[in-house]
Amino acid sequence: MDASVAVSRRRRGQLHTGRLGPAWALPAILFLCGFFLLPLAANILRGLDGGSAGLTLAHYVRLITDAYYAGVVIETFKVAIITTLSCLIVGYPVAYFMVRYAGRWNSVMVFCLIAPLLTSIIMRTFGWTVLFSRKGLINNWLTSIGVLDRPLRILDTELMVYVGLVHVLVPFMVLSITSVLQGIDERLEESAQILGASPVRAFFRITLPLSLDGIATGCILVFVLTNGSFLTMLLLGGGKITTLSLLIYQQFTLTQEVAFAAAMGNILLLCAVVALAIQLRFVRRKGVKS
Amino acid sequence: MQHSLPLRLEQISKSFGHVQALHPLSLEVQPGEMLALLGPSGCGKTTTLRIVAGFSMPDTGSVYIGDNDVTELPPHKRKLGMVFQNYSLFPHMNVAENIAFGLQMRNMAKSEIGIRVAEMLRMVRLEKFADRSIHQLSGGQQQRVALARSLVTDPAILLLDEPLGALDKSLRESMQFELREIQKKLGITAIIVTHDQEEALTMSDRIAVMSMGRVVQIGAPIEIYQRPQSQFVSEFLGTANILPGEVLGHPQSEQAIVRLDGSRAEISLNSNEAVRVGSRVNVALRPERMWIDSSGDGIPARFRAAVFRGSYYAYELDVQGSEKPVYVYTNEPIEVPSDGVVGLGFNPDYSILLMQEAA
Repeated sequence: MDASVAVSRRRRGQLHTGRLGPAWALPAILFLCGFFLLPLAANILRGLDGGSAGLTLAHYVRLITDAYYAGVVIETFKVAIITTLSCLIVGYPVAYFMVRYAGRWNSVMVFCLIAPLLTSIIMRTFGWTVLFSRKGLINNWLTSIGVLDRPLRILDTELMVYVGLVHVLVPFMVLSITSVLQGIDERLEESAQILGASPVRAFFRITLPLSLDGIATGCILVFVLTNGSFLTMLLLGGGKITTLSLLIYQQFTLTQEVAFAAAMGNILLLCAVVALAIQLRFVRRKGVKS
Repeated sequence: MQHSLPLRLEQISKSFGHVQALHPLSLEVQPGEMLALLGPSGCGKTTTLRIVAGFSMPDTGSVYIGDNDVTELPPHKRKLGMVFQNYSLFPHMNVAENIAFGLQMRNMAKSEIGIRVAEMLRMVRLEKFADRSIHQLSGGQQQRVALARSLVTDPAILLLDEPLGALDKSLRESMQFELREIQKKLGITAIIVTHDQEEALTMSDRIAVMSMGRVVQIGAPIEIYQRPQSQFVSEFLGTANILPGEVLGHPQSEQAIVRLDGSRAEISLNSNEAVRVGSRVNVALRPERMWIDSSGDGIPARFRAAVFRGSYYAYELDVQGSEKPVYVYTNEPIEVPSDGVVGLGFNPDYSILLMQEAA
């Protein structure tokens, strides 16, 4: 009698947890609503805030029509595209080497790629300043051995911003590509070679097309991250490069034009969403194919 | 169709670090011949094939295709065809594109490529599958695409690296015949690497049995099967029972009288090499060439277990003097006496005398 009661109670208890199942996600959902969705919605509204004029699209119109701001939008994309391509050109050979030739050194290389991510981006960026400033390591060394008469101005140039960005973001590209390259059978390239393809041709006809997935993921990751970063431009650019993120930072700290900054933030957000949608679609289409 | 060419390996050797994967080895494959490299994993058969393909450089020696020394030639200039173990078809191309790849690499005109691809698809009976993706094909179909892809360029030599390893048993058997038929029809010189003795026996003109980086015996399948020269070969080609014994005498040059350990019976065996009286030998007996006598005549043995294997019955028995159990295959079930003691008989014509390798 007692035993059967215990059994039925336990069963009922299980049913209760079962019925509660989805409800366990409630705290997480509440958290996301409170700290993610609501602020997001608030930011969208803030971007439309015209002060006394009520809701307005004026901020967006200004962003697109005003020559200065339109220039910043274009520059933002230019920087993101150049950085993405540079990361791809630097990162693909590294990824290829890691997967095909590094062998047991592969894990060491992965560590070397990830380790810098554990230090603050400010530290990493200041590292470049130490190296390249007017009285930095490189200039001192070059002048002391007589290569240069006086120190070069390396910092505060566009090039330096790209160097800094590629340095910070290339691990994302490399790791995205290695994860896909690892799944490509080396013997596919050998098959192509037996069939008369030189190693270079085999790479471009077989391995490269098969690793497009990893390239796409890496590119979108780097593109979105470049769009969102402003510290590198701030610390290494010396005002030579102004992007949306940097502008937002300035709007908040200097002019405190919050509504305009929010509008710019929303443009960046839109770009990120579009990029992710493209990537999802790309991956899904491949998924159906295979 | 180009003329079939012979393939010749001269004193090739290869080591990886401290491991000698291949001791200096010479082989010749006749034009139109199919040679099987048979052996357990790590015996050097794959290393040999990769040297022929050009993926691996031999430490010493040369590879000749016809009269040309191709040792220094990279794989894409050797004009070979190769079927890989997992087919290694290009997953981002459909069936026709896979087959066309080799012709595109030779910069053949598009119209001609179409004709050749259609021809190949007909040969492997996949006409209707030209536009299929590789993922939509069964294992056997993928195998045939791989074969078509390797043959479309009219290669001088066809290399088969465990080509049927990934197929299930019944499909493997039918593919063995199909592959062999196509190879014969084209008259192409071929090397097949396999660890499956049955595959080697059915598919090749000659078999080179390899062990620890050396060819231990080379010859026609029936010769290798019936006259293995070592215990390794006889054990590798089908389960052979090995019973130790001693030579009592050899009345004729091709005959020896042997007494098996633990048995009083003296048996007369064919011997293809001269044996000295008193030397220790092994006698290899094939399970399907033995029988069980329930009345106890023959080599005394004790019954251990019996298994029904479909087309035959397998019996496991203990024989004095042999550490491993002895197997006997029969077509009919045997009545085992209650004490389990039976006698084993065998046909001396199908038993092989092997010198005991010096321990």
